[in-house]
Amino acid sequence: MYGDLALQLVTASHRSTLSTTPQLPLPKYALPLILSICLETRQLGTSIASAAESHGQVSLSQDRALVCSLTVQHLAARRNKRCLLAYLHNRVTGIKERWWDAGGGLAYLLSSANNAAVNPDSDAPDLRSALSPQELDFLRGYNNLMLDYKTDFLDVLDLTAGIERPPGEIMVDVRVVRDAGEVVLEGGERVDFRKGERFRLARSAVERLIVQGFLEEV
Amino acid sequence: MEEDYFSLSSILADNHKLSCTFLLDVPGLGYLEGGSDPNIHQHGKLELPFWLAQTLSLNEFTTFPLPPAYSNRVRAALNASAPSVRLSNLVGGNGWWYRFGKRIADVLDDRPQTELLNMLLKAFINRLPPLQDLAAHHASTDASVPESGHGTGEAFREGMEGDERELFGIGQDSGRMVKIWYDLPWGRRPSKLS
Repeated sequence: MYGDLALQLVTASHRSTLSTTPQLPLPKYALPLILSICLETRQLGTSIASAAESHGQVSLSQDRALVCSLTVQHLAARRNKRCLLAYLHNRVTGIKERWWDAGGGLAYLLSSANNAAVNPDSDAPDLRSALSPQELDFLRGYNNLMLDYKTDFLDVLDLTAGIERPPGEIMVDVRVVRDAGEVVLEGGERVDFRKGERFRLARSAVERLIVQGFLEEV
Repeated sequence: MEEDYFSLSSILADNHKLSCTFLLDVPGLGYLEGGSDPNIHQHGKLELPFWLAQTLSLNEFTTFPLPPAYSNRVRAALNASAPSVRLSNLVGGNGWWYRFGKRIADVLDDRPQTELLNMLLKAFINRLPPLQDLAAHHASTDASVPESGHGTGEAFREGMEGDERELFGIGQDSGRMVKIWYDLPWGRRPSKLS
């Protein structure tokens, strides 16, 4: 039955978005399934075109049965299109969500160390391999766009900083939850973040590391 | 319950099956039936997904009776006690009773349309309070589910359809989030200073 493959795609995608807390890793881009849906749609297109051509203008206005069968094929093609677009749209939304969750850290988001530790058994070990090349381009473009936008007023407001806790103090006590290695902070100082250690640092310098879950406020 | 082109739940809700009757012979459409007959005959009955049935019915290729999920029997049951009707049984395990009903109403004419829409609205209004009640209390007391007067909450929970399930999830999450927010240490900071 036409549309079954597309339905399969949407069902899987819907299931993966059902539970938002905790957020599941983005599933791998379903390229084989998408290609077969495109193929089905193209076959529907050729079938409609050839049927319409061989029967001619007159029968198209009079032969109700022909129109009915063409309508069915047309609807199936449109259904496929809707399913594909919805799938892509849904993924783009998910990608944006992850970008914000990571505090706009593109390199962190794409590093394989990020997800691998958390979900060793998912089918895509990290975000980079879960994305299609086009989605990767989108993520990079979105990142550049946001960077461009936020730099204009970065001196007063960091858009990508978390909003759960309003910044109260300039200095902040942090505990290292995950090894981050040696990091060069804004002031030029180098700090070696090892798990379990505590630091008192300027909030603006370590804000990103807090958002990304390496440090935890105490 | 938006009718968004890109909404995955809308797409899935459009896949609910309708029992359609063809009004004409259509050669070469037998694949819809999945049988060996290559053609579809007049008055042939077929289960079609809504996305096919809608346009075909608007163009008078097919007709369909009101599905049993929205029949008078269900209406009477809803009137008697809306929370005790198991909507999930009516449209299949993971169905969208409201969405599907609204889509069907789009195809119907004036009077049956108003009646159907009113039934959906009334059912929703009557079911929302117990739904919210359950969502608010289910998170905290998993073991002892509150009696809502219409059978146990557990029965109601199993009878929820797709969108109600989503609302239930939102209700539970918001309860949890409020609790976390109350427990935050910096919420109590002013009292520490005094």
